[in-house]
Amino acid sequence: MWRVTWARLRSDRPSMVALGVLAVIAAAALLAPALAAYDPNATIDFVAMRNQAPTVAHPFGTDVFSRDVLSRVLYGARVSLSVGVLAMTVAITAGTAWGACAGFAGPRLDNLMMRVVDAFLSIPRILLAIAVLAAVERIVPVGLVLFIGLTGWFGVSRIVRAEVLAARDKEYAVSARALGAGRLRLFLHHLLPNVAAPILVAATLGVGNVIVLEAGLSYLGRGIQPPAASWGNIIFDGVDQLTTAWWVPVFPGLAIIATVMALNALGDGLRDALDPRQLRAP
Amino acid sequence: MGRYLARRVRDGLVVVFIVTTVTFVLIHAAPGDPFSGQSDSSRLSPAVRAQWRHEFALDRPLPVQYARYLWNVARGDFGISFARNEPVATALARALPNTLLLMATALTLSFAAGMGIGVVQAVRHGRFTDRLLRAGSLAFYSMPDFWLALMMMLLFADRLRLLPATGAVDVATHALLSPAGRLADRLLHLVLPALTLTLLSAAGIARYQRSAMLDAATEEFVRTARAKGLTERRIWLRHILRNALVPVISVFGLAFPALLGGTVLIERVFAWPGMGRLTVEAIGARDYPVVLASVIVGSAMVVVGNLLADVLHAAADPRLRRTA
Repeated sequence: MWRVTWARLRSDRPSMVALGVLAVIAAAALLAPALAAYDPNATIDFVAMRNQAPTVAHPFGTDVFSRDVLSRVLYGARVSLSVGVLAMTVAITAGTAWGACAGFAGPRLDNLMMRVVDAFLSIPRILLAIAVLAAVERIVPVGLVLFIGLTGWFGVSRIVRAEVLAARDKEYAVSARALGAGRLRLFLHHLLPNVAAPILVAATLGVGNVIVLEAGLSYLGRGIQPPAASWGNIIFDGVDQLTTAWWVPVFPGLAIIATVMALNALGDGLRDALDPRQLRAP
Repeated sequence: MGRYLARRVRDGLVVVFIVTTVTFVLIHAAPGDPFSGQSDSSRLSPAVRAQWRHEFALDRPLPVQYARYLWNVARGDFGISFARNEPVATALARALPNTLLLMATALTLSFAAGMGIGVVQAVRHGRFTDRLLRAGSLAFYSMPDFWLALMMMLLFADRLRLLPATGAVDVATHALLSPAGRLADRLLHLVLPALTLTLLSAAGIARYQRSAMLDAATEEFVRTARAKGLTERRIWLRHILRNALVPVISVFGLAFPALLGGTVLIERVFAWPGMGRLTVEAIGARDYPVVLASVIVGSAMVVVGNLLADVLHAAADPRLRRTA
């Protein structure tokens, strides 16, 4: 199945462009220490180099603390991408576990578990965020990842549950059981491979959502805490000087858009490539 | 239909209750309260603080506080704001109309624009126009909302000086203007925040409208229409669009929470005196009653939005009415 998917994906130009963009951004994040000309947290010259417009030496300009914005964006990529991937991993693990339990549980427990998911799905994530933010003053990175992950698994659990319900009485599942496979083994070895495709799509789109959400939380002062750079908090640092130093918020914003656009395009492409009913209008 | 509605209202109340409980527990589980930790209140004697805590019932056990709170909210009393020294209901009553105005404007504009763009894309699918609009809507769809707000402000308010950057009215001159001038003042201040929200949510609606149209285009009745010799224009606008409207209505239920989430940050950027700004300020001041009340109002708005989407859905699709 994966070979067919890859072949289909390869023929989809937007997906290939998106993969290319993501590869470049990921490489930039990995090689940040080699690529960045300056220490991202170093104040170069607090008096002379404050809020300098872009030049050859500082292609993205400098911020109010005279730090090199390009270096901060490069290092910020590490933080923003890691938060995105880690939070999504948390979300997928939690969602898969919850969905699988609901799928195997009896109808009453299943119903209850899914009602909880429905309730949380109907709340805007930002409201959940506000509830938590009101309670904490500074959030540590691990807490942020857990928080974003644990508020992002509801959709995944629905997908997994539907798949388990559909598959658990199919012949291959019944025969695996007859051979003595327990529920866990049945799920991990026989059902999980079937759910992998829709989860992959959800995860691709979800990483983009997380990156945007982290930026929004940074704007409320509750994202990754300075001086560590994330794309979100670089923008936040530039808000007060928006009219005098536009380059500070503009470049990390463009980095977010490029990344999230690529993730969304890739997610769309993957969904089409994995969809067996790939019939579109003539 | 009546029984269905009653069940949906009950489910909605359960959602609001869950959100309220989660928020209440989270806020109270965190260390400290509004009367600790404020740097400017170090002159207060412990006795005064204790007195305040007692007045706001913060010295009672959590379940007691929660029961009291629920009982008060059920009677429409959201308590007194710690930071503003006024009833929370008063602050909400001031902020809510501004947010509703902003959301209603953005919702109307974004459905009009999003559906229009989606239809154009579907009719010209695969061509240059479609690809261009697709890339454009994907870009807006992928943008952090507050970032777009900042950019709009930078461009239209600072560089071009076309529109006011912040607030709902011009604080200095509004009271002196004629009634028509006041209306114009309000409208001018509405443009930037409403336009920002519209761009963001129209992008998602256009994506949805396009794929709903293309899905409907594969159905049998389209072939029948072509066989009858109808013009392409008539087929797309009368036959396909009508059938593609039903799935798009369900986007209404999804667009509503997204829009509400968007207003939180966008109101802050444009200093729009609505619910979002009230909430963000309350977070900063650890003003629990205001935070709780805004979360309750927000989740109630989402529930009502979803309910509205379902009712519209049933009204548009006769097949759903029978099963519901």
